[in-house]
Amino acid sequence: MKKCNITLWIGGFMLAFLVFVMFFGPDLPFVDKGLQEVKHRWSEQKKLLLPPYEPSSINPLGSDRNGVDNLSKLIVGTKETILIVFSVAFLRYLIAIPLGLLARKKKGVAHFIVNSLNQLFSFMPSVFSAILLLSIPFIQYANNRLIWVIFFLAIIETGRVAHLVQEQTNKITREPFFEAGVGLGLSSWRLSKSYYFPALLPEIVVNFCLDLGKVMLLIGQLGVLSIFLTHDWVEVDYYTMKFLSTSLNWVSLLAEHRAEIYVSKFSFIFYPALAVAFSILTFNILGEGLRRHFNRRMNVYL
Amino acid sequence: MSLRSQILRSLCISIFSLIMVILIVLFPRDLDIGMEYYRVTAEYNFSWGKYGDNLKGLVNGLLENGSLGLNRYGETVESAVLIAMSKSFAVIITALVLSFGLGVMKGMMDYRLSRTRFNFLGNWTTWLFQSLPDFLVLLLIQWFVIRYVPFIRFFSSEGWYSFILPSVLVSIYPTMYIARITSASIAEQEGKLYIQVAKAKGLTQRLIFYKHVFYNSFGTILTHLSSLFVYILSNLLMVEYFMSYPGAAYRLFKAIDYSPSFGTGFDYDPGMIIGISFCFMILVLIVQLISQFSRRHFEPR
Repeated sequence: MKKCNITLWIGGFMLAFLVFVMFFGPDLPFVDKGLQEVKHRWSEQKKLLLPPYEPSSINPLGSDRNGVDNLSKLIVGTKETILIVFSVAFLRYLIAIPLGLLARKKKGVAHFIVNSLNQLFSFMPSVFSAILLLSIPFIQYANNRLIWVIFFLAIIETGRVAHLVQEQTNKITREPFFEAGVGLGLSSWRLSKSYYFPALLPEIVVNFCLDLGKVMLLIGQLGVLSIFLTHDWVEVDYYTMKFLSTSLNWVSLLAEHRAEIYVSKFSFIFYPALAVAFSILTFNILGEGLRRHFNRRMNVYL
Repeated sequence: MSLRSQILRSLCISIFSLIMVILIVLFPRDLDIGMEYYRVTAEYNFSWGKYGDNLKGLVNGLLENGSLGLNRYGETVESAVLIAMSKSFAVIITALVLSFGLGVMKGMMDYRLSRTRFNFLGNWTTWLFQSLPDFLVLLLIQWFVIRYVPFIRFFSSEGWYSFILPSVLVSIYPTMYIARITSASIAEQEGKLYIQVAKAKGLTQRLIFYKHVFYNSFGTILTHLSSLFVYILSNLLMVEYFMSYPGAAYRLFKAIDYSPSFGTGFDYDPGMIIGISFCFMILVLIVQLISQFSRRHFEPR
């Protein structure tokens, strides 16, 4: 009996929802695309209201101190957040796959690089490494900081991914079908293209999805620790400089609202955290669904 | 690979990683902060000379005084590291035992439930908890504790029992990680020949499960012990940060001194970072050793 892969469907729907919010969210009628600051407002009883506004029909999640609608901020920030996450994971795999393929024989320079990258960053949790690397001043004050941030976040776990690719390719090398390819005298390019890649692809796609979740978690944690991905150094008071976030991604929202919990205001901070949770869940479910899809011939009962 | 060479290999790798960490930590971070008319300016110039001085300073301090120097409060780094580590050590060990024990049990339960219609209680809850970011869970628990059970003192680190709450919080995510691995590795044993042999001998289902299936998959679970430990460390930072618990992970974050004003603040404590990462590495190494020794016991082949 053919069983419907319900996990993949759920994951697909959740992803579709995310993509929809990413591209069409800002144009929805209840979203204030321009993120206008409403400095004051009159209530129905003709009373003056000042921001931050309580949740109401105009601001479903309330507003921030400048009167900007929180829901709109969250929705407008979706695109940037997902794009950052995606580019970190993409860059990671772009470096890791060739590296892993080169190191398939488990010797040589590539093997050394893979091994040391993997070991170096597996001793320390990736949050620590990320903080250490991102706080180096030359990245801190760089003009194109975001590019550096993406690069370093990608590098931190490249070793792990490359190691995975290496293990997989090494396993494939010992398969009979691959030995047949070698026996035919195919070039290494042809071997990579028609033998390694098709066999590797399912594993890579599944792991890519799971990695998207991991990157999301990592940058969420950085956000909680008030480390912005993009920021500007501006004067906020006499001779007082401060890094202020220049973008609206969820991470910056988390960082901005974190201090509120110390004064027992658990209001808005939940929503960016929930958005992060939703996207991690999406990527994980999608990854699991894809795994089941690729394994459908092997384990029928899954 | 023999056990001795395996141990030697992990030792070499950890020394290499420690050297890399030291190189990253001692990368010069001083800013030239100046005034230009009415503006504050900050400039960063990298110089190899400064880098060399930093490295020389560390080596000299270690060789001559046998110390990593003083930290920003004027204490010796060693004593400060020991104080912070002793606070965290109880949390780490409790969380390790708790998450491993509970995780294996949850994994067995997940596997049992996966064949029934209560599957959603098993694998799905594991999954859900693994997908929730740790800070969201912490936020929710913090909110709940402060609002509804105020007699639990969330921010207090006094009393001998203060390590219990952080250990429980730290172990949530690792428990789910181990549960997932346990259930997957038990499922992998399904349909293997030795199970059929055991069935043919007429052993009970229970005996087969505990004496054969579980015993065999335990080796696989133990390989993940060191990554479990790294998960615990990374959770530790979040928990200590949220609870203002004065442990090692929080102290490490403080030592990096990420300030919103200048990026790296003036209280950057390289000695503390090196000291605490050294302690963490030793702990990771010990856990790796335990995992290797016990794997040898469970997987004699």
